[in-house]
Amino acid sequence: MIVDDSIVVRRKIHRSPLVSDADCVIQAKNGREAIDMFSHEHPDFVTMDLTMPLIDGVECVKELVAINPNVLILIISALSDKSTALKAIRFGARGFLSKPFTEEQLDTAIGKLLRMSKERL
Amino acid sequence: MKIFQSSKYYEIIISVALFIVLDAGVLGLNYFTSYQIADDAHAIHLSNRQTSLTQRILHELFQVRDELEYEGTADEEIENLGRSFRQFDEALDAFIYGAALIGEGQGQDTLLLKSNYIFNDSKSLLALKEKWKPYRSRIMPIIYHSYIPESQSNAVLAKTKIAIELGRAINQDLYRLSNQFANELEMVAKEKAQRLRSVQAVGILLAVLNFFVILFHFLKKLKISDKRAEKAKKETSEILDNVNEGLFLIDIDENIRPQYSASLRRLLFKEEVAGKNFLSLLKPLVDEPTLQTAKDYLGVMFSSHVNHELIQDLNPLNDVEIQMPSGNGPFDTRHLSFQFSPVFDQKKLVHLLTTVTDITLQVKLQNELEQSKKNTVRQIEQLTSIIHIEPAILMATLNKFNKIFDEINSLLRHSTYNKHHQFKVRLQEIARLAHKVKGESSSLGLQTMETQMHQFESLLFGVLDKKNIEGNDFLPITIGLNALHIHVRSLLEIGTHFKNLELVYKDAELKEEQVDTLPIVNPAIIKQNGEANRWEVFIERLTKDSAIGTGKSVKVDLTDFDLSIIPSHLKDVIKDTLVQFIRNAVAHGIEEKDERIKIGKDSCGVISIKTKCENDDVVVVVRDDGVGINLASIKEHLILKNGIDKNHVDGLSKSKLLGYLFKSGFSTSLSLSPLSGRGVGLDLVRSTLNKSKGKISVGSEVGQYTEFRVRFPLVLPHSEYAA
Repeated sequence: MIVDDSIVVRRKIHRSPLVSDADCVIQAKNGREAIDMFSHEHPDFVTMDLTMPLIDGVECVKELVAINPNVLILIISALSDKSTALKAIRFGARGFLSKPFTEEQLDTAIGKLLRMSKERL
Repeated sequence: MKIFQSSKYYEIIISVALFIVLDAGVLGLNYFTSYQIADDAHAIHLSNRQTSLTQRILHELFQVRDELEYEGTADEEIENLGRSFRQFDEALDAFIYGAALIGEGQGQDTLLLKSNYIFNDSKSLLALKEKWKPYRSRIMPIIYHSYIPESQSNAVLAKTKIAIELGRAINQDLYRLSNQFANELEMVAKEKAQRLRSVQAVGILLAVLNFFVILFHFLKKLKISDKRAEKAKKETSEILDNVNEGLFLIDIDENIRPQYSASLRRLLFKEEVAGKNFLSLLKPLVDEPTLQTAKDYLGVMFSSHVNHELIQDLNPLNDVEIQMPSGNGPFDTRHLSFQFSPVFDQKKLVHLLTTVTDITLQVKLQNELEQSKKNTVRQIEQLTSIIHIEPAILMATLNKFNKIFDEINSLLRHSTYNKHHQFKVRLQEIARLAHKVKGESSSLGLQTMETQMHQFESLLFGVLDKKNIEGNDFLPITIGLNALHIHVRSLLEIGTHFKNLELVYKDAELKEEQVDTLPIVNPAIIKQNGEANRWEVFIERLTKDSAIGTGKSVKVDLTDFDLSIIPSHLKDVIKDTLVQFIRNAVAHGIEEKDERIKIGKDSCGVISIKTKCENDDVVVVVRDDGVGINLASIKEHLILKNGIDKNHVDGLSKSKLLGYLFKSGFSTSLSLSPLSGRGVGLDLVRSTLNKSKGKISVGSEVGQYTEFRVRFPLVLPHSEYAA
């Protein structure tokens, strides 16, 4: 699930090889939509922006982890507020990728999280 | 089970197990053999008893005979004989066939010979048995009777004599064979004891050997292991003592572990850090938000659910600027970088390996690189900003700027000013000079210079706006002026290169005074020799550049502009004046394109510049087809911004009102821009005109036009005017 209020960013993430190879990709443009879609679709992997309308990324991470503690969440956001990003990590996000990013950087980050998840299993 | 899987302990476990097995074996053998020895003792005792029984039986036969002969009865003697007979016979059978003998007098339950104690292969025993058989058969009838009646006593006596006769014959043999057998038993027992001793000795020897093998082998291993550990410790110490970076471990409580590199003390300027809380060491070095973020970051690093590689960008301690006391007194600014790596012990995160690096040099180089890039960009901007300008004009203009800056410098350094009013007057003069430079920069398209002058003007007006101006307020202006000098020097360097290349003009170098001193000739010839062209280009460029970013389209009409009319001593003055009028017309006169179309005007505004001679005067007329001068706006401005009484303002005449346009600081602009807003432009014109004895008149019609007309005498009594 791709969560970002910018359609440009959502499309960019969707285009990257690992994401486009996934069985099913869904998009949400704000925190509320993300929580609703997550409850119905139960995606395994989520990319999350931090600054969004309605419900911000930190609250959204908290809610998603409460629904499924094993979900892999990658925060994708600008680096300006590190303390907010760390808050999201404390609530259960697994990694962070700063904007702007290349497709290669996104794939590397997703790959690392997926590998980590397999090792833990 | 893990202890068994570890190869380090496998050998010692096997050795200890072997030691235990050997000891247990020896002990077991001892235990078993002690029972055997007890049995052998019993057997030997019995075999010795057999020996004595052979003599007793014969003796008891004699007693039976004697009793029967003298008393006629021998019940007691026969009973004794029977007992001895049974003991010997049972014991002999027990030795041959195996049986359990119950001892008499030793308790009914005592087993004298175990049932599996058999010697059926002993020759002496078998021979004894053979010797005993006939003897036995002669004794048995005697002991058969428990009571002998008188009538049978003779018969028993006869049997007894027969038995005695045989007994006498074989007694020695019986004794000898019993003795032999007893000796055999003793030999067997001795052999067993010997064997036992041997086995015990071997067992104990092996156990002792095993013990010493364990001792020496593992002592040796321990020694080797200690040596290796010692060597490793030494190498670790060498690394920690010599590594440039600060290395240390942080535990989950954020405390620094005992082992750390020597450099850490130097980097953190602390003598001892072991056991101290890392965040409390960091507290004096960073601000509170960074410290809190660092605490959050460490907490996250110790979490098991994160991917540590993917959160490195969130490290708030990548570049920490600290002030450290230097040996020379003042503080040194240093940059430290803290990097954290997780340390696992059997898949469990136990510590964070922290590396502290002094990145001051890198930061310095990075800053220098950034600065160098900025300088390069700036130089390229400067280059592109001046590339269109004829080198000679550029050089002349820049040299003129330098002179103006020198003049400003001398105004700043004048030490007799100690009153606010005097400061203000001088600052206004400086502002006029600065505005002139700005205008001329704009006219030439020297955008970087124009921007710098605009910033310098901001400094000036920042001080001018103060209620009480003091000497110290001039310091930032002095610094700003120095920056302008540097900028002009930089442009001069570039200009010199261009001049040397002689790309544009092949003529010899034009000195400053030559630029504007070409003789007045036929306009056609002027145009041919280029100066008129240069004025046209300059005016058109100034007009175009002034309009950039305003949303206005402006063109200039030079149809009636004749440079030849202007004497050389007035060219500079008139040029400066034209600069201000054109900028003023674009800023305040000409409307935006859409507005012009709305009111039925052509979208492009027109500024026409005319020159003519009138009664020994040179007249320059600058007219725009813009909004005209709004006297009401001037009045409003005077009331609201200058705080002049409304009644007084309402009583002012048109010429008085228009006069305010030329006052320093008066501007009807709502906002400040490089083009207008400070109210300096027309003030500069006024000042310039005063110096060159010029006059100005203003004409305007609201919504239609504004016209500035300046008049200069062709010849001055003294050629004294500001350049």
